[in-house]
Amino acid sequence: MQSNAVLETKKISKTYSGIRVLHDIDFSLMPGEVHALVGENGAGKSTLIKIIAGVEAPDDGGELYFQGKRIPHMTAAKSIHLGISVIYQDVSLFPNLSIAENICKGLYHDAFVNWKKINGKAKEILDEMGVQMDVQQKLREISIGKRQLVAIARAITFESKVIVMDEPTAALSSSEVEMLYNIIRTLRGKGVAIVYISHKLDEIFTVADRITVLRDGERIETAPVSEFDQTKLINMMVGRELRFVPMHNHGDTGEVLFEVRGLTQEPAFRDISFACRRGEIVGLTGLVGAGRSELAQAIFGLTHPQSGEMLLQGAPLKVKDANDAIRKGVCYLPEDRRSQGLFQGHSMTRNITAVTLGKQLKRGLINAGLELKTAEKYIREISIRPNLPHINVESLSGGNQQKALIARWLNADPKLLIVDEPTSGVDVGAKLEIHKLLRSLAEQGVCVILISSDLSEVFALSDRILVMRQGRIVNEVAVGEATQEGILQKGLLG
Amino acid sequence: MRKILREKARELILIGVIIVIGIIVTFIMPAFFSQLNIINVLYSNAVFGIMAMGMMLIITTGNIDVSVGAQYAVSGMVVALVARATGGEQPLLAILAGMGTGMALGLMNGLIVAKLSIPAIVVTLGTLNIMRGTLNLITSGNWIDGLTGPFAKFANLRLLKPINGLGVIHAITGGKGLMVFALPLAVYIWILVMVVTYIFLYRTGVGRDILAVGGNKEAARRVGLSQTKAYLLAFGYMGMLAGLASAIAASKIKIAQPSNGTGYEMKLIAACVIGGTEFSGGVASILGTLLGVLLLGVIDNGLVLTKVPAYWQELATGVIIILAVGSSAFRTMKPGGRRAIKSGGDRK
Repeated sequence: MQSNAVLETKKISKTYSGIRVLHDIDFSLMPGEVHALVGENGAGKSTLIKIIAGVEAPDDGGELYFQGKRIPHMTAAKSIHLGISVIYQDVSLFPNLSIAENICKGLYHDAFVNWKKINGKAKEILDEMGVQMDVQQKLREISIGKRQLVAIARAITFESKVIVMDEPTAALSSSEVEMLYNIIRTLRGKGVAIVYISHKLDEIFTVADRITVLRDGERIETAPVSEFDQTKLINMMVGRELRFVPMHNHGDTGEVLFEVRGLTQEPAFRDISFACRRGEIVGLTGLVGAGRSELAQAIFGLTHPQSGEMLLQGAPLKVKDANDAIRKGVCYLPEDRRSQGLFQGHSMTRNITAVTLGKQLKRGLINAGLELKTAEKYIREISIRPNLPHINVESLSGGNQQKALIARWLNADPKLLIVDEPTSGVDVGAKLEIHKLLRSLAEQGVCVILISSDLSEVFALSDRILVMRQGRIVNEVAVGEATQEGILQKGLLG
Repeated sequence: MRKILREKARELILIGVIIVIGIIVTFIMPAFFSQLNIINVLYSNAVFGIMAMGMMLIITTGNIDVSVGAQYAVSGMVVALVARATGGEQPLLAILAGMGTGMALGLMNGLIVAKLSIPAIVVTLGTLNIMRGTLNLITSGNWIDGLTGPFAKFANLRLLKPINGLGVIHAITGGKGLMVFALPLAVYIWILVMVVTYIFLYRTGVGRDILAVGGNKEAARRVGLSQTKAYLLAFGYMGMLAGLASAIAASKIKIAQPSNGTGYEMKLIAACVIGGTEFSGGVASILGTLLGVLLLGVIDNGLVLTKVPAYWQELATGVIIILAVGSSAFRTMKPGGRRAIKSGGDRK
């Protein structure tokens, strides 16, 4: 098997500022196979891909072979030249250039651009794929799903021997997914090796020939797909039988605390109605682009819905802006803590007290002692580690950053707390702690809305689940023993 | 047709604004709409127009250069030295000396920005002061004058004669003839620079690579395009054009001062921004930049002709920048009034 592998890594490791994210990875890729790379967030999949693509250099000692030949210093240009194409999750293309140019960038090295050649080549490849596009259109004018297809066309244009697809279906419609499968089968037939990264397991069982499981930077297993079933795969990914501890409300839920009636904000969402009772965690799930975050932002006053109303504790709730929302007890933990949550470069204390400076005043001025006291209280109560209030918030782990942000909202005495992907990029232990924290908030009478794409998380934590698709709530499920994830999955995809 | 309307909306609006201003000024002072005055506007803005092409390229890579005025001053002094030493007999030598000096300064900027990954505004703020400081130290603030000979004439050289064959033209133009092609050499150089920039940006491989780097740095890195090369090209081109422009200016006013070009960077950035060059990089418009320069030039000229105090020009420039940038920001606003915060989940 080893001899005819198109790509092979031996003992590849990668350390980022002292943290080892990949550890002695041996990975091989045969021509004409679809090799799925699976693992949780942070398992090291993306890093491995970047090393193969020459975008990141591995630590000393690792070896990379292409068609049996050792490549000592892989660079991005070299890997493309060899025939390795990576379709990144964030679709690494040029929004300001035309579709044709995106497909052919780097293919020709003429001093003067031959537009006829470029447009013709792009059209030829897209026709081959069975995709209809105006190749002279600017990339920024087409949908994310179509951009994904452009990225694939690009890989085909370069006659790649290895194509890496990182979450290729994340933004595709179901018909586009079928199209993708067909393209993959054609490529496989031509002897192209495909690395397929996805967290949607049914996709993996549909397209993959072999599976490699990564966990915490280690390779756990590589085997043909026939040797796996879903449960075994999940167990290998998470490293234990049960993923999340279910934490549901076992007592009775109280009166309705928060209610939304017919909230509409075109084109993001329309006719949204639901209620949240005291002591209840309402899960809000759906695919990226379903309108969940937009809904949360509208409730929090960042945007203004065109119609519909909201009620908090029976009284109409009108929110002017985020400040007004916070005053009225509506808080929102945003999806991307780095860009939307943290004040990077500032201390944990400042991050915690940022929205409640009014409480830190002494004679009208902000008092450092009061601030510190507030921070220390939360560090103790929700055990943020390390116990250093003055530490730069950037040097905290993801989980503790998230806890600091939750502490920020706790200090604002929320009545309604919307948490948007609260455990993304957080390690397993911290996920559990955040779950416990949210549950205890619900028990204390805070109405919690949990937005999450992670179905197991939604199932473990929510008492009721709302499924959003294309801006509408399409399904409402009370979580009980009999509820199957599969039912919900169906609701997601429509 | 609709596609052109949508894609070139900014340019069309600018043309409209320039025409409206032109009509208003002509009403007050009919001399505005004479071929002599129009040529005068072109002639006096050639220096800016040439440099604006370089600034546009730099902004397209996602950078900025606030040291252009200083590059212009340094190369202007070099031009004047060479021109005086040769008695003005070797204009081409003087021009090339200026272009070489400017290019060297520009490449230095580009190298620092690319290699040290320091934001361009910081780097060029530093080099601006270094260039000006050094220049003042060496010259003690003294200017170079006494430029004569062919050098002192080349900027305003008319290679082509006015069209004056027909009696009709003779009558209409009051005997001067139709001067559409009888433009000063400086204006022709400006046109040539725009053509070269167009070919460079839209027809050459490296030009496309510059646009790609400006559009998405990370994607460029992943396909193996050299950011350093793109930066060096853009900054070097800017420097070279600053040198060329300084030679034209020296030929026009027959003097070079260490304080030349002070504040030019702001006017150039303004012209680019009005013309639709985006600060986030990747989007350039040669026609737009040209119109940006002309708009500022027409306002300047119109205010002078209508005897409005010059201070009004600054005010008008400011208002136009805000209107131009504001209008495009307004167009990209999402429905629902306020701009929604960018959702990390919708990976672009």
